[in-house]
Amino acid sequence: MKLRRVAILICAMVAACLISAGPTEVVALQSPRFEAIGVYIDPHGKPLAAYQFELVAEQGDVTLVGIQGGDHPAYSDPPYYDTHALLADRIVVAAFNTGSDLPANRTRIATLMVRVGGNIEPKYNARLQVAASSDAKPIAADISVEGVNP
Amino acid sequence: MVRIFFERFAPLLRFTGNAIMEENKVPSDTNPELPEELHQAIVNLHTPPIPVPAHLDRLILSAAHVRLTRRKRAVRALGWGSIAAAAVLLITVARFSFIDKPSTPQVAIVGDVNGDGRVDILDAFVVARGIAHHEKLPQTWDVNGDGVVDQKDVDLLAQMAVTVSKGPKR
Repeated sequence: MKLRRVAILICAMVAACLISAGPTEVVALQSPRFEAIGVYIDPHGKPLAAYQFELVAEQGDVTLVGIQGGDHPAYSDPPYYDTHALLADRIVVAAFNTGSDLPANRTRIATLMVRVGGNIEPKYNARLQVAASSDAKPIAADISVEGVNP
Repeated sequence: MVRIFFERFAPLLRFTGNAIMEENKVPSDTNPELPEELHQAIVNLHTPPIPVPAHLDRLILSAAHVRLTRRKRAVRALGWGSIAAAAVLLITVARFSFIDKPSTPQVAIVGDVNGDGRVDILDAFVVARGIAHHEKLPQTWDVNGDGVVDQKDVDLLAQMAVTVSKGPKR
């Protein structure tokens, strides 16, 4: 009988402790996610026969896992890139087309698949190194990066 | 109006003047005219006492003319000198910038097909375009050294263009 009372008392104390502690804070560690980044070039009306750009992940834990081609048929094949750059935070991507069907307006020329870890939102900086017309002469063009649905 | 003022106040002024003279024990002079000697001295003050001879005038003028001409020449010479110095400087800069450039030994960059000083996708594009158009391609475009310029050279050039220098991961 005495033992039962002691057991009830201990259970009551434990219950009181649990109630007074309130909800436990849970630190949510964001699991790695995969994103697709579209790289766009606008050659301002001139046929884009070749391009080369450098993409740098300025912040965030970003790992490049793959590269796909763009929307236009001239650049639908995967571009040239350094496979070693998949483990680095910067990559140089390039492609050309010797045909006559070339994009002359803003178009997605490549899609980069990345793995993002941690809680820091990644920030990318793309720098256009080469944009040329069919006669291999440099042309003025703008580059931009946007998140896309894979 | 001024005349009215003097007519009205002349007696007062005369009285004041007399009073001051009385006070200073200066003998009053009833004659308002200036003494002749004083008048002559004032006139002589504004008259050149020595007449300048004409030949001296000419000498002074010619000397001034010579001096001014010399200064004008100096200014003109300075202007031409500046122009000459600028021209010499320009020629020297041009000589060192352009004329001496070809004489300096140039190091050929492997893969720099279009000769723009770097290897990028344009080099691969130029070779690929030449192959696609069945052009006679120079042997220097044989980047992999297999004796023919073909798609392998294009791929090699493209890979060289996108190769990222190894660095520590952030």
